[in-house]
This record gives sequence, C-alpha cells and structure tokens, in this order.
Amino acid sequence: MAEGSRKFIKLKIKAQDDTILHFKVNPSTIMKDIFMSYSSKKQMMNYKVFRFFFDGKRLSPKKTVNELGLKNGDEIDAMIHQDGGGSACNY
Amino acid sequence: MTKVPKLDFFNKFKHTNFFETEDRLKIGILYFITSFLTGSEASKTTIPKLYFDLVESGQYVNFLWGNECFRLTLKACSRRLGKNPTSFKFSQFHIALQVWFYECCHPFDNSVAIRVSNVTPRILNWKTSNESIFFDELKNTIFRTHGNQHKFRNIVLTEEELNAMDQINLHQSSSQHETENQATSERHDVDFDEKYVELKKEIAEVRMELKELKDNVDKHMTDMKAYVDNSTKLIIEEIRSSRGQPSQATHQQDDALQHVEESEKAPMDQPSVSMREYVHTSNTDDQAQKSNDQTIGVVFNAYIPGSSNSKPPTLDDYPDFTMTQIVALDPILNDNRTPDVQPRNRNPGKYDTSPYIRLSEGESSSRRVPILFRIKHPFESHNGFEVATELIDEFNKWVFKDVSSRRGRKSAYSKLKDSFEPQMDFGVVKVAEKDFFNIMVKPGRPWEDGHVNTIMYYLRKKAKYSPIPLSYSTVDCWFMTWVDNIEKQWRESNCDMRSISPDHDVGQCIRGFKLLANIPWDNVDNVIIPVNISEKFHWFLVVFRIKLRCLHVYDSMKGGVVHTKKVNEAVGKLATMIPLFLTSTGFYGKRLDLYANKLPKYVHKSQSDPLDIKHMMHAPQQEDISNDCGLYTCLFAEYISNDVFDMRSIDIDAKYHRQRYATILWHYGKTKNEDGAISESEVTGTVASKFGGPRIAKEHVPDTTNYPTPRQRTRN
Repeated sequence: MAEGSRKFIKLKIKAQDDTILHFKVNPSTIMKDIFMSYSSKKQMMNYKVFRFFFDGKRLSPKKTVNELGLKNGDEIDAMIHQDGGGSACNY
Repeated sequence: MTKVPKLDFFNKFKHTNFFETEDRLKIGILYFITSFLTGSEASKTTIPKLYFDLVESGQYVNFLWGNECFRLTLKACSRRLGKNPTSFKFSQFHIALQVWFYECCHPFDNSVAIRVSNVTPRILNWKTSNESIFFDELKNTIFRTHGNQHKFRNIVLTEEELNAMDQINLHQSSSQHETENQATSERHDVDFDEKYVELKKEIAEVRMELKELKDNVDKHMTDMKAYVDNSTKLIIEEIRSSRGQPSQATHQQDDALQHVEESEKAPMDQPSVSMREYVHTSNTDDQAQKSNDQTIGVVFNAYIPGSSNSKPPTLDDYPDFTMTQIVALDPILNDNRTPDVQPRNRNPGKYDTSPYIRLSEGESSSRRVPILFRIKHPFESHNGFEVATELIDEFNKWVFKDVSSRRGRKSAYSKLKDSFEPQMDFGVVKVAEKDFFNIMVKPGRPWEDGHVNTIMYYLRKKAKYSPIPLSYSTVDCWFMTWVDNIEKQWRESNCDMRSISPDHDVGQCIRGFKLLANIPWDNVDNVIIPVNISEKFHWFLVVFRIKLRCLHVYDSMKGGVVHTKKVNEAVGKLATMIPLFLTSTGFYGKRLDLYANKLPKYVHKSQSDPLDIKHMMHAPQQEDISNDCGLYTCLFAEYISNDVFDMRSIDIDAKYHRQRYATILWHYGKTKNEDGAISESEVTGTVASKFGGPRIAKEHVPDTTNYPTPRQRTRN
C-alpha cells in the first residue's frame, strides 16, 4: 500500500461469543455502514440489534471512523441488545 | 545450668527483691534487653545464655543489637509463616521498625500507639496498649488500598538527632581506631585540637562576612521601603486629586499607609534572619562533612538553638497586602468601577470531537482544553432519594412535550421530534433521543441495557469519587453475557482451564479494565452484577459478597417454575465461573486478608469451588404488568451502594423512582451541556486491543462456537 495515497484502517469487531470479523475501512466511512455490513454477515436484518462498544463506550452509528478516533487494529465489541420488563410472561 | 524462662525472670524482677543489690544494675540491663529489644511471648521463651554472658562481661555495649533484633524478627516471621499460613501472631518485631511504624502512622491512628512526649530518643515517646493489633483493622483504616486519603511520610530527622548521629559515627570510627592502635588515636586527639582551632577561626570569618551582608541587606531594604512609601503616597494623592475630594478618607489612607509600613517591616526582618541561618547551617554542614571532628557537634549545638526557634519564612508569613488591595481599601473607588467584562466563552466543540483523540502538543497550545464537569455523578447533587419537585415538573414538561398520539408507534415521539441537540453524554451511552427518557419515566415501558448500564456506570463513579471510601463495584450488564459465553466454551472443551484466561473479557473486568471507571475487584467487598435473561425478558440483580463468598440474588419477580429455573441457571453460571476467573487473575494473591482472617467460607473450601448462592426471599416485588424489573434492579443496586443489604422493610414507589432516575439523569446531562463541560474519559483500556501492550492472540483459544469463523490465512 502506497503511503499517503489511500489509508485504510483495519478494525476488528468481536461478537460476544469471541468470534472476530475483520473490517478494512476508510477513515471517512460512517459507522452505520460498517454496522450494517456486520449485521448482514451475522444474518441479522437490523443493525440496531447490536450494541457496538469501544473502550466501554457505545459507538454512535452516525459518526465516521475518524470522528470516533478509531485507530488501526482497534477491537470493537458487538453485544446483542438486552431489555426486560419481567412481567411479560410470568409462568 | 538450667535455662531461665522469660516469664519467671520478669515476675521476679517486678515483684520481689530477689536479686542482690550489686547485681541490680546488670539485671536491669538484662530486663531491658529481654523485654524491649528482643520482645517475644514471655510465656514461651527462655533467655539465652549469650545475654547473660554479654551483660556479665560488659560487652553488651559493643554487641550489635540491631543485627540480633533483625535476626530474631526474621526468625519469627519465617517460622510462623511456615507453620500456619492462614494466620500468625507477629511478636518479635524489630524495635527500631516498631518506633518507625509508630512515627509514620501516628497522625492517623491513635489506636496503635499514643505519643506521650516529644524527646529525642524516639523510643521514649510512645505508649502502647497491651491489646494486640489486628492486620484486618489496619487494613480497613490506614492501609486501605481503595480510597485511602492518608499519605504516609517518612520520619524527618530533627537537628538534635542529626547531631547525635554524627556523634555516633564519630564514636564508632574512633572506637575502631582505638582497637587498632592506641597511639594513632592519641595523635588523632592532637589533630582534633588543631582542627578545632582552625574551625573556630573559620567560623569567626564567616560571622564577619555575615555581618557585612546583613548590613548591606538592611540598607537596601530601607531604600526600598522609602521608595515604596513615596510611590504609594504619590499614587493615592493622584487618586484623590482626580476625585477632587482631598479632605475625605484621610484616616483610611493613613491606615492603609500604616498597613503598608507594617507589611514592609515584617518581611524585611525575616529574610535577613533566615539568610544568616541559612549560611550558618550550610557552612556547618560542609564542615561536618569535611572532618569527622567531635568538637563540631559542640560548635554546631551552640548555634542550633537560635535557628530552631524561628522557622524559615514561608509565603504565608507575609501579610498579603498588594498594591491592588491598598487601592481597593479606598472606598471611593468601589463606587464606579468599570464593570467586569466577561471574556468570550467559546464552546470548545465538545461533542463533535471524540474524547479518544488526544490533542497533540502543537494543537494543545492553541486550543482550549475542555473543562471537566464538576459533578461526578447524578446522585451527587441529590441527597438520598429526594428530588426537588420543581425539577420533576420541569423535566415532565420537557419529556411529555411532543409525545405522539399515534398508537402502535415503537417510539413515543415522531421521528422528527425524537432527537434533541446537543446530545447528552452519559459515558457508556450518548443520548440524542428523547425516547431514552420516555422509556425511563413512563410506567410500563421496559428498560434496556442503556439505562441499566448508565446507572451502573454512575454508581461505579459514585464509589470511585466518594469522599468516604465505599466498598463496592458494579459491572455492566454485558458481564453476564461474557460469563454465559465463556461458560459455554469451557463446558464444551471439557472443563479445560486453558480457556479461562485472565485476558478474557471477564478476567479484564475483574482486573479493573474494560469497563469505564472500573475498580479492580480486589479493592472492594461487594460486586454488583445486573443480569438479564433474554429468554424471560427479565432483569435481576446478583451481588457477589466477597467476604461471605456468596452470591446474593435480588429478584423483583419471583415465582413461576420456568422463571426460577432460568434464574438459577444464570446464577449457577456466575457461581461456577467467577471463582475460576478469580484464581486465574491472581485475585486471591491480592486478597490475603480473606485467609488471614480465617473467614469460615474460605478456610474449608478450595479456591475454585463454586460460590454459595442465597436467594433473598424478602426482596421487594414489582407489580404485575408494570415492566419495572429494570428499575428494581437499579434500585437494589443503589440501596446496596448505600450499604443496605436487607430490603424486606423497604417500600418502593416504582412510579416515583422512575421519575426520579429520569429526572436526575436528565438534569445531570443538561447542566453538563450548559456548562460546556465534559466528564473525565474514565477509559480503563482493554488489554487485547492496545497496541504495544501485552497482546494475547485470541485466535489460540479453541473456538467451540457454532458461528463460522474466518479461516486464518497462513502465508509462506
């Protein structure tokens, strides 16, 4: 890769079962694209099923890679969202 | 000769006139040696013959008692530690170390030792009680690792001690000389006399120089004083003439001038004194280094009292009258002063830039560094569980505005009205949707991970920044997911301990990484774990009581066979996996107190045994169809953060608490935005994702999950 011409950033997205998918992205990519690509690879229709974390902070899908300050080789955690009300079906 | 038991000796020494009169001095010395220098349990030990011999022959003066004490301390340690590793009594503590310990810990804890006097052999200053001191107590008071505000300082030697030390050195060296050769020592004495005369001369010279210096300084100071006086007069007259009120306020000005004079006088005297002292001390120090003369001690002593009386002047000693304040004393000026112009406060673009980006050196000089928010967590500004009603009204007005009336909508607002600017940063989540608060406040709406994590995060911060040390930590709700997953891997690999790595997410949480503002588990006594069981659409709380080695389960909705089964499954996983990870992260090595105190749960169990599980049967229960279990989980966590573990008598008004949590979070986010501040980054980092850090290849862990993993490419 020629230095300076096009820079790519390699990101890893780790699922909660420790499987890792590697992504090679442009710094100006919007995170939503990455999330959607990831979701489709995990056979999920909606990327909002996942919560994406880096360093314990949730990543906003509207920001670009550069805005979030992600560096080459960073590992993002993808967790499946959780909610609960308790009384939905009490048996 | 039979051995002499220590206890017998002590009793006879104390109570009867058992010993002959001429022996009493020697017996007294022996008593001192056996009771203070080499203190040990009197009932079990005997006095070695060596001590008798030493005292009898008079050689105890030259005997190296320091080495002997150290040897005994070492012996006591190694024997006790070897025999009974769970606990031991530390009886032969080196006397010098004891005194040192008293000196260091004295400002914080009077239970260890009480200072009774302040004389120079420091051994005489201390009075201890007869009760033994427990390590656990110390650990909870002065040695607390988390939230300890004590700062230990080493002993600072007083002048007298420094002198004494010099003398001891001299004494030792001279005594060595004595043993070597008597003649040389005599010659040394002659040398000393010569040197004494020399030094006297030198000191006289130094004095002369100092006198000159002092005169010079005094002269300059008077000059300066005159100049300052004149200039203040001039300035004040100028002011007066410009006001056109010459006769008023003369008194005050006089006062002001007097102040000026006083303020000038006070610092003028002190520097000259201190300078003299400084020269003295430095000179004498030099001399002391130059020659090992005993007389220096005497000379030095002669000058010390003068210097030790007065402290060197600090900044506080100067009366703080500056020119501006003198002017401010004039009341006329206060009337029409130009109003303070607020400097333009530009927002530092806080939400568009990420806190991850570190400003480079070149950038930081020209850019404003964002202010850190003063309120560390939303619970800080609200006392207990009270929230002001005005605040609630204000929040309700905001949150229930624009609520969409269309039924069947997932969010409570239309897409346009949902988002607000600027977004609120709650650390773990950044909220830009009003729906986040609507979910919190509206009865019947189930809470999601974001809400629970936010509250857990702020409880963690509460523990971290609390002025009084709190002994709990929390984890995010993902912890259970990670535990669930590693448990699956571990079981499928037939309980292979290699899959339990301290660098796994769970291990990182325990070691204090991964989560924001995380506290290592070895610093706390309780760990609060929110658990979500997605099959049952339910939240509940598990508290790991480390000292009890037990998991307490707080479930706000009990009953139902399937429900109980699922809860037990999840808690069982935690109970199995936590000890394994504790072992692999070296947790027990950092918490030796658990074993030292012989906690019953730890003594009879292996380290990796599953934890006990206790269901809290009397935990408050949520109402049916209220979807409040997320709220209850957070509430339980908050009660536990206030050290309330028994909740049977607590009445929970769910509606109020929903309102309360939403309001304090909203208020916190709002004030933070209004201040234009950001919170501390709180990132604790992850072990695996750091470049240059200890990088553990995750790929080596055998992957036993069903997901197809990308095949590793090997390049040759």
